Amino acid sequence: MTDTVLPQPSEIPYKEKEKALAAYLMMFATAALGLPFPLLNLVASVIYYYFIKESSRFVRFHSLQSLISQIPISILNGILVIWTIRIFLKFEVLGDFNEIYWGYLISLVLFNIIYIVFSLIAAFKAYNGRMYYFMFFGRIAYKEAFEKDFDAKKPSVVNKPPSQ
Amino acid sequence: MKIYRDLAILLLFFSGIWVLSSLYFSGNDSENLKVLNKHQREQLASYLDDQFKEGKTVYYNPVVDSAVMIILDRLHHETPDSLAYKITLLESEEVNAFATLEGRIYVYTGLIKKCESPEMLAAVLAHEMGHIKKEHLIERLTNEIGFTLLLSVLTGGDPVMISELGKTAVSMHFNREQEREADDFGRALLIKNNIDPIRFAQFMMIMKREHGNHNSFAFINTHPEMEERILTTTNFKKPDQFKEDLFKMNWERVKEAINSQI
Repeated sequence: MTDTVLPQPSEIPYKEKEKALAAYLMMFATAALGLPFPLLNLVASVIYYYFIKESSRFVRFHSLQSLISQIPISILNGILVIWTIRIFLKFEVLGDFNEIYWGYLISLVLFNIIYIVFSLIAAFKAYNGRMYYFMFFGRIAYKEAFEKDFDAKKPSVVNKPPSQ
Repeated sequence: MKIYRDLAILLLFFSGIWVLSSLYFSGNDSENLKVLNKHQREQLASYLDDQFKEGKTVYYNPVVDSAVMIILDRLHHETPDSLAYKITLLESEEVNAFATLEGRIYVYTGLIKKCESPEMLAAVLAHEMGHIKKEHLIERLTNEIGFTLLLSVLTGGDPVMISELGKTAVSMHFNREQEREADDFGRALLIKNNIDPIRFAQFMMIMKREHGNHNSFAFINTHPEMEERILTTTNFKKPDQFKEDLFKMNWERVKEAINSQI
């Protein structure tokens, strides 16, 4: 395991700050496209993480934090969509607009608002080269990004001079 | 470890908000149910009466009527309450029965024809009385359209809105929990009146057997989860001293009367 050395804002190139910002904004860009099923934003985050994870630890941290924090939110939102569909299709089990449903809806709306607010804060911090930790998800993302061996992607040698 | 502490806080926060919100909504509803006064309930029962009778013929036959009254009297006699139950028979091959409120039960003649004994009809009526006692219709209406709108329609008196309200009520089905409550009430009422609750299971078995027949479909459609309910009723433990007291009536004569008139 390499020693954990956190990059400081002045040490982080502008492009990396942009990539880290994009990791959070990706969700907003794709969430509306995927409605009513909250899946597209998650897929986009996975793809984004896959392609930029080897840029730097800083970018990796923010994109991973964005990705893993979206997982439970997407699951909870998906449950609400399925539950609502069941009510409209008049299923017997979970087929009622009862107090449990309304309570779930209200709490999920609140949770989504809180998540959006914190994501915007994190996006702003990332753009300024700052680390910002979500509760629970921040620790996991940090462990993965800074406490595991990581080598930034070196360009592979493919172009060679003609053979003599 | 701090990571688990964070996870616990998040889970507690979400579930806490969920529970509090749900309690808020359930508290509101139960208060609202008490606010619908006697006059409004009668008004709603009357509107629904018009809806249920629309396009149908009310069935009159002295033999069938007196048989139904004997069954109702027995069910009501042992467990008297302030409610005056009123059963309306409607001419239809459809096999179904509906309970609304203020004691009103509607039974299609098709259902009576399918009952092989007066005890079977008593079991169906006991179940419907359960829906009335537990006020399931108001509960459903409140869930479907909201209490504020329900009250507004009743107090506003707009005929179009009232008609729509009636159509909503007629098309609604009771949910699984309500059916279970009505089953529990019905079984207890039958036991008190020395009628074996197995009669209800027998009736549902007949319906299941004839599933696919257009006439029986309506009852199955509006009373789902029949297998589970048949099982629950079949496994219901009767008191040790229980002894069924059969109705002393010629049920074949009742069925003949119904078949000859329709």
